[in-house]
Amino acid sequence: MPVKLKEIPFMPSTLETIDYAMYNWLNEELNLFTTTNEGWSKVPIIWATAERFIQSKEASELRDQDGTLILPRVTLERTAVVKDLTKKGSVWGNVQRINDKKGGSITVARRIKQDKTSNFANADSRRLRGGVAGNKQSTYPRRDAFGRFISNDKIVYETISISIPVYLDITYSIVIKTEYQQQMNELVTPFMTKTDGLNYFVMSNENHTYEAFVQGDVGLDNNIASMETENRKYESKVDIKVLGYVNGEDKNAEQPKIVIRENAVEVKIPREKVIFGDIPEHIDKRGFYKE
Amino acid sequence: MADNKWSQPANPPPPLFLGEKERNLVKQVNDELIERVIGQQVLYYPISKEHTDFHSLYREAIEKTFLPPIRVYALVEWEGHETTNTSAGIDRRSSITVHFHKRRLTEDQDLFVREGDFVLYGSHYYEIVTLNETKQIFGQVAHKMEISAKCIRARKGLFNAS
Repeated sequence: MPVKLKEIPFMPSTLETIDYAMYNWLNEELNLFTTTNEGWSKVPIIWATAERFIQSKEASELRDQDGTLILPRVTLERTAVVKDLTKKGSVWGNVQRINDKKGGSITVARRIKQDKTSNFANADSRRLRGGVAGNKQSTYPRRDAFGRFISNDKIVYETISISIPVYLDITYSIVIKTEYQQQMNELVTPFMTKTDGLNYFVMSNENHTYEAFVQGDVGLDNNIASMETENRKYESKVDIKVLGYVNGEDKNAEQPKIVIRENAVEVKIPREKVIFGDIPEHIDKRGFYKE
Repeated sequence: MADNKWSQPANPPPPLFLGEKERNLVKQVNDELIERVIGQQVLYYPISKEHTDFHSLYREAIEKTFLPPIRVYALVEWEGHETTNTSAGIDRRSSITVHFHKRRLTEDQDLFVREGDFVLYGSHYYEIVTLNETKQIFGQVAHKMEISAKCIRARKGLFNAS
């Protein structure tokens, strides 16, 4: 049965990739709804904070005609990034990148370079079977005089490598703002219970998966004791720590994100005639001298 | 027999001396004062959210697309330069408060002032950071006199239409 090949798009992980993963988890996985005076409504998740022109022209479900914010609202902010050498995830050792223009540290895939492999195989076959003047046949069965299969040792592989993932301990702060205690109860509870008895969950984006940990302390704040001239409001803060990783220097990288190298299958040393000072007669277009 | 039935009008009668004509007079006087006498003007750059390619998560746009700028006569309060010393170097910022004549803007120029839009005052761009509508005309809730826009100098990386 043929092996089913699947193409896996692989983009480097960046801080932005992790931010999206966090946002998507919050918006789609946790998918917070609450009771409002307009019924059971989805709570908007806002990355803190947008530019002014976008805020002032936001959709009508986020603020009223006068510009007053509509609560409840959940904001998400990345508050800390720590490169902690004691938290290296699954890549503990440091694999130096190859010291050339391409770089690359870890091999992630390998595939046969079909055209070059067949070129070598055909050249060998032609050398074995062909070589007759006027014979223009370019391919031959790879079998010897007794019909036995001759294996091809000259297989050109493309080896794909990437830079080493650098693990980061990233803290996200989620602030929930409501006008009612009931709404706050409804919105805080999923953070505590979604991960059941643990505080661990995984989130993913663009084929990258990151481990995340909901922090146990929930900061509860309100102004009910001293409302005075303010609106009644409830505010809670939940921190989530993410063990994320990034590859490469993002847009500042001088080396490619994905490095593809080919192996050598044959070593050829051209014969030199320096001593006799012959003028080479057979020089190809590239200036390569062939005997 | 005469029909002496009384019917109640649908709306209460307008104020005797503070109706539309008086409001129009106020608008006309202010228009003339601001445009003919004082003559301060700014160029208003409305940023188009629809045409700006902003980041879908961070909701920020390094390159902002604006609608055609509009010349607006307004009263501009110059609040001066302020120099601060930061770790990045000496920083010099200035700010202005622009008092827009609301009716002139919304009725005649079809322009609505929003936070985050930019104005060109002199040769510098300023970002509108806060808005305030402090005065009502004759204490009527539906009629405001002005829109005060507090503006701070926009750094070159934030907005540069030139």
